[in-house]
Amino acid sequence: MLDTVIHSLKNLRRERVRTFLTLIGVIIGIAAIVALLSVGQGLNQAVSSQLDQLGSNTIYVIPGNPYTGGSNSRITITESDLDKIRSVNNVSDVIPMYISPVTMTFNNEFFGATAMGVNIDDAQVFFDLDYYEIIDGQMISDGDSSSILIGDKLATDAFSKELVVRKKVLLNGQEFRVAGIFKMTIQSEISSANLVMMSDTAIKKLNPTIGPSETWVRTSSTSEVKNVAEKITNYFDKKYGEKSVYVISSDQLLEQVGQIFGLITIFLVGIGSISIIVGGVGIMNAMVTSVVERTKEIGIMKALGASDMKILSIFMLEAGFIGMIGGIIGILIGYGLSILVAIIGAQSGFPLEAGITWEITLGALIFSMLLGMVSGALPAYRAARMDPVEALRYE
Amino acid sequence: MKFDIDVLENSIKNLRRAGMRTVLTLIGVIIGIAAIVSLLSVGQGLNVAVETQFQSLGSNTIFVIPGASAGGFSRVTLTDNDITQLESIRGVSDVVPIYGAAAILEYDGQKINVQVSSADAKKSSIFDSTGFFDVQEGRTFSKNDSQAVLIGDKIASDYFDKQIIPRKIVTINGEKFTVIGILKPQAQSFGGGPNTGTSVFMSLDAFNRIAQNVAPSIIFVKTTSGDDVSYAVDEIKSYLDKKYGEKSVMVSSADDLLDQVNAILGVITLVIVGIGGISLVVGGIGIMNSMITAVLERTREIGLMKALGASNQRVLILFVLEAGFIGMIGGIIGVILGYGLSLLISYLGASSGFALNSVINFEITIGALLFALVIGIVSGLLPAIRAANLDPVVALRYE
Repeated sequence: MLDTVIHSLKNLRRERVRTFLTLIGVIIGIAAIVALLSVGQGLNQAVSSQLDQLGSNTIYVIPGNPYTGGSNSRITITESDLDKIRSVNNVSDVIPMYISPVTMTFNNEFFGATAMGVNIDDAQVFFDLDYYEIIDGQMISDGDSSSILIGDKLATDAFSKELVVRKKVLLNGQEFRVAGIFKMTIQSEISSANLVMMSDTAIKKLNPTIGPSETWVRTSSTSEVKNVAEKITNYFDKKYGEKSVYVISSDQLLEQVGQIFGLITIFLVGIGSISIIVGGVGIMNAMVTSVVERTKEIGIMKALGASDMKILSIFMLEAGFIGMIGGIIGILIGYGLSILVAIIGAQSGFPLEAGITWEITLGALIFSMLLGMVSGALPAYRAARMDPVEALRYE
Repeated sequence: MKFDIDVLENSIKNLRRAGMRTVLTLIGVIIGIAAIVSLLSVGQGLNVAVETQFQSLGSNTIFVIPGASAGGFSRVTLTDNDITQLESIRGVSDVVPIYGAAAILEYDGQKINVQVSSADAKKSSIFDSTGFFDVQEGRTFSKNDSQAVLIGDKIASDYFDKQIIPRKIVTINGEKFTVIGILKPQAQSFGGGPNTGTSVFMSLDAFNRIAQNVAPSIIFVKTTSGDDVSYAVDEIKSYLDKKYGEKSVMVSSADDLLDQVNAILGVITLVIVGIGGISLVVGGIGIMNSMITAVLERTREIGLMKALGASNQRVLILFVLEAGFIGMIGGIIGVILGYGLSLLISYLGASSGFALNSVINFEITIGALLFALVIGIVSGLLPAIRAANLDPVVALRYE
């Protein structure tokens, strides 16, 4: 068996240029697929880890169906609704977030900002998650209805004069004091350029009829999540009708995100695999040529007693080797590319890591070997079936 | 440089001789070109679909959508006063708000939350050419339809256990309405038509009766001519920014939106075609490989040609032409296959309700053919140069 392997390798070395070019074809194809899979994995991991931080005992309750209907079709979740949710078994926290547009007046200038009100004690969870940090001034205390925190970009860019701590501003005509300035560490649509944070008491003062745009419900343990989510859904279905509220657990969210990424990755990999097919055709071409060239040699081998099987295995191995070597180099280049993408991504503030996994590596290796062997199967078969007498006579 | 039919004939003959090898090399090119052509064709088709959707509204249209920026969180309520203000802008011919509100739709004992929309019947003629309100069953609104509703196809068939058909009675926020028609589903395409499948439409009088907080969810503004559009957009933006704050309302002309969507589509198409194009690189390498083998095989023949007086240039042209032919033939077959594939995709898409027409385009065709030819020539260049520089004496001696 070792003989056969050595023989195959020697043959490959003989036809250097041809083997080299065929190899390049395989390398390019494998590198493309590995790079795509790896980047896709990295993206998935980046998003999943962000969601993971929130913990798997969290259920998100959002009024209205985010897939249809505009912001006008959202029902208003009331305090009694929230109390009802709090009374459900195994619910440990209920954190409603109120969001409302406000017109901020400072120094006789106007600016349209977005205000977010939340129970300050509950907001501790955002701190723990490192979503934002206070860079000047101090945190608001619970129940304070006249202080606000403003985003750092808002402080510097919203008005011609910089807005600093202790200054007073008007929000929709009501007076508030800037208690502190914060900086956001995560990516969000509402950014520190237009975000104003306040206590839930304060935002209800501004907008008495407001309902939470999003409510986080935490359960005492992961196993209760499904149950609690069901109970919440049933409650709202009965009260406001089906599809009035969107209830999703963090696990379900992760699943959905994973599915979407999976689909996109499969699609892109599908396109990338076209180049693999062409590479395989190249292997077949090289093997066919090789077989024809060595017709006499095959005749001699057979005359000297080599079985058809042996001939078949020699050529299959050669093809398999091209696949494997091309695969190894391709995997290395593919990962290299994905690491490059991750670095570029990290530079632009997107926490991206190259997804280097066992599955991708092993999968690509086995695939490239199979590719080689399948592509080489036909030529190898032809070689094995050659009539030694005819072969010896070949000119 | 003498170019005669001989060289051409010779190239083709040689390709035929090498049989299997040529076929396999061709297949590589065909696959690559077919992939690129089908992707480009489908991509262009998406582009066209989006443009058609926008055009049905007319190009003098401006979309005013409160809360569309800032992640849809800001619930700015535009007032009738605002509407009047907008109407007074120079060049504006129509201001048509569509009001929306949440409501509970009851049918057959089930209650489901839906969005109810309504527009002023006097102004809604601007939608006539769009087909947004075409019905697949029943009829559309006429004069005295104050207890009538049109419902979307998804609400009719998927929402409730029992299907809703025209003439059935439903209850919306406690008031009874007769379903007069089921809306035809709008073919969804990238950033295109509104999804009316889950909407309920009624007359403005009825809407004011059942809805509590009435606010426009979108306002269509039409100008008298295309030239008035940019002025109107600026005026609307500055008025709304001052009153409600920047970014609280999205104001965009149909052209602006179209440009944005096209830009995104363009990038996506480019990336996908780029990935598909990798296969062509591999195909080109295949051509190079094939040509090197050919040159090697025919070393003696090349020696003979040179001995008989063929110039280096002639040998070069011979091999470059062979490679070019592989490229071109592969290109032609690839283009045909590629279009075939894209037609298949658009057929599959159409049957799942996705409006997609593959585009068979002069530019794509010529571009792909030229590209294939160039790949062939470039890939064959190196081997051809080698062949051209062979020493005839050494070549003749080759075994």
